[in-house]
Amino acid sequence: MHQVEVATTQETLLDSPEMVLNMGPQHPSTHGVLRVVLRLDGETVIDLDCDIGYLHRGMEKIAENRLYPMIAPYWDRLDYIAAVSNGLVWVETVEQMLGLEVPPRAHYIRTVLTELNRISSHLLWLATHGLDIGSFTVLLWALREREEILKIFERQFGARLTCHAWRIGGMPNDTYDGFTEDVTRFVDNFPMRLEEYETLLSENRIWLGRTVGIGVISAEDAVAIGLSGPALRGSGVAWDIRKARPYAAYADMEFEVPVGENGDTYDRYLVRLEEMRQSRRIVQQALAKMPDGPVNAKVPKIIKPPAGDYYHSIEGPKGEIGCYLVSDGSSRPARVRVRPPCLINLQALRQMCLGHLVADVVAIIGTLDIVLGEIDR
Amino acid sequence: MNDEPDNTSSPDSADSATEHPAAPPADETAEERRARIIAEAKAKAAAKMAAKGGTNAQSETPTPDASAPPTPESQAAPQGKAPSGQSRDTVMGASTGEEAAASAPPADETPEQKRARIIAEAKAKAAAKMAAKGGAPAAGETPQATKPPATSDEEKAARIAEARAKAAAFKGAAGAGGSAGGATPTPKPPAASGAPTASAGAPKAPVKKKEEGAKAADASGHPLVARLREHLDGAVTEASEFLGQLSVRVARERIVEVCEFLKRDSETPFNYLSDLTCVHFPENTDAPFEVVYNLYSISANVRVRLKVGTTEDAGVESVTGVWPAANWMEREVYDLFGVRFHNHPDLRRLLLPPDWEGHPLRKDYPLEPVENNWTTKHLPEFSEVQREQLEQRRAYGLEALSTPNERRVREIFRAGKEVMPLDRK
Repeated sequence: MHQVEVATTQETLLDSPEMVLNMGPQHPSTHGVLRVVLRLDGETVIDLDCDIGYLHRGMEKIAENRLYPMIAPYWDRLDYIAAVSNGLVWVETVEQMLGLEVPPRAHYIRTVLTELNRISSHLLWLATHGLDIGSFTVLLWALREREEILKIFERQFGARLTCHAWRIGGMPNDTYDGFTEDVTRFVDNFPMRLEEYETLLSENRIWLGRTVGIGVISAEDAVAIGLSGPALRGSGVAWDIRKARPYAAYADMEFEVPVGENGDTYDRYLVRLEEMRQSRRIVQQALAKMPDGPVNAKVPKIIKPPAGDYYHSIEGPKGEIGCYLVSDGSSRPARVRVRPPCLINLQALRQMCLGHLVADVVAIIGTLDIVLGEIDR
Repeated sequence: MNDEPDNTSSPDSADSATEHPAAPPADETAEERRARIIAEAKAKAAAKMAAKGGTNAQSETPTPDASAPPTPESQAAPQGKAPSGQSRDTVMGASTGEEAAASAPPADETPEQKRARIIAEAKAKAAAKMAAKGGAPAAGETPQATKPPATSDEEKAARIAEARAKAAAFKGAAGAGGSAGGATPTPKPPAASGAPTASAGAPKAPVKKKEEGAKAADASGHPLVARLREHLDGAVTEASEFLGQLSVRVARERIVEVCEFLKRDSETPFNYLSDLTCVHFPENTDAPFEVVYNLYSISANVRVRLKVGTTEDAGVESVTGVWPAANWMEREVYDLFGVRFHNHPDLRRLLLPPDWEGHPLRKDYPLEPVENNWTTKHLPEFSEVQREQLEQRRAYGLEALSTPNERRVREIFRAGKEVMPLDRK
């Protein structure tokens, strides 16, 4: 009997097992100039590499050639979404090295404005993350509230984005007339707005389908790979520098550190929403307890920190933003190192994306909340 | 310079402009015209500076063919330049103003030559003035101050070296005075140690401050250091504490061992690598690169800093096996400093292109536009203007290209003996 061999698979010449897909650097969902090269099996990611540095400006090199007060504006241009937080870590590092006693009122104002900055940063994250996943309304709504905060910044600092908010030793000036009213109006309306976002997203079937179980990272892995901020707390590690090592006026504030359970994209979304609520609480408390008095310490005309090295970090909206400062005792630093939370968080992208679909890569980049200005520095 | 009356808006410029009207050739192009106007404005500004710099300025300004009326920018730039040149030449112990004024300009010199000459003269004059202001110079200083100006480069270099040595000697003396003063219960006022330095005509020597701020203290008694010493014999070479932060210097070969130990430490498990970076100390020839590990223990809320000195060739063992977080941070250090990490899974450049040459965060890497194979391949060539800017930047540090506001800020700081980057070495 003659037997006919029949192919058991339907392979043709066009069926190649793998393909390499280039995503970015000009891609709307990479939130800047991030280039991700994906190796795909069908639509599943089997390997991934990031290409960064398109925005490298050599800020650390520039800082070595500048006087201490001149360096502050460069910090704003790192994570331009959270310029107020970035500026705070720089001035606090120099102040602590100099041993300056910053007046309490300055600390409280710093706390209010840094928390407002955290809210605005999270709102922009929510807007773009929602847009990436397919919810357009949340973009419009979240930017509407962010606008309120940017208006407060503009009135206070004279700039909306790169504020150059602080000076070494305190503030450039006290709060403007009507500051308390503006901030109070914002924080009073804000819970209602947050509820609106939640009605849009939290139980939305599409949203759940796109985020639950996507980009899971365990607490142990998250710590090992250096995640920080909401990305780490989404995995259930309750580490917040505002609690662990309080700076500014956070020691006097009551707030909770929200943590997730599963370490997936949905948990990180919940953590960030809850953080906005807690930030609002902090702003309210700081406004209520705001002391009177000067906003500037007595600062030497020429700022020359003692020779030595110092590391200070704060809880930025994206994670632990730190400054390692080496001084040789002159008026220019010997080395300024920015501990970039986004860069180190982005390291986890490969681990979080393996085995997921291409569309999930977009969701995971969004959930890491990266800003390329800070990754490339 | 600051306490002089501002005579920049003297009528000389207007007069000379009317006396010697520029006769531009009829067929010159727009570019030529622009270049000519810029050159004239610069020459004019230089002449202005010379007028400001010396008492006998009338003898040499205005220059014959500097006819374009000076713009505010062209006036401002040399004003900014002057102090840096002044401090350089003062240290060299340059000539008196009379000698500079006596050199008659040759008739056929180009605008560039003229500019150079005028700047040189102005510098010499400023130096002479500075010497006169500084009061009676020290006995050893006098013969040098009256030497004729240096003509060749070798002579100039020799002078600079001599002056440096002298400045160092004065600095040493001031330092000795300062420390002696610090030992007695009532320290001398800062002027006492600052005055001789100034009168010696060496403004570069920093004035010793009495209060020095925080100092690093030995931290051998720290329990963590004691534990490290007990378990890993000889791995810790030095431990210090600065502003409450513990730094432990570790032998290069044993860094992974120490990291493993700290990560598994029972009392303070340093499970989180906050930061890994590097600092370049070029003067430290044995180990110019210091790799710095900032560790954090989330459970115990403690930070510690490890430091490892190394050279470019020796490199460091990678700690990616201990904390995967070190992966990109080590790549960044390799990229920007050129320190190699052994057994790193994927040691490539992180931020710069893979075929870039050099490591920008090293101290010997210039803060200016660079040219290498990568830039010639990917970027347009430098224009004439960019090249000129680059040369000016090299000559005057950041001064020549900075904005008026930046210059003003520097002006403020210069009153406090601030020096420009070029003068720093």
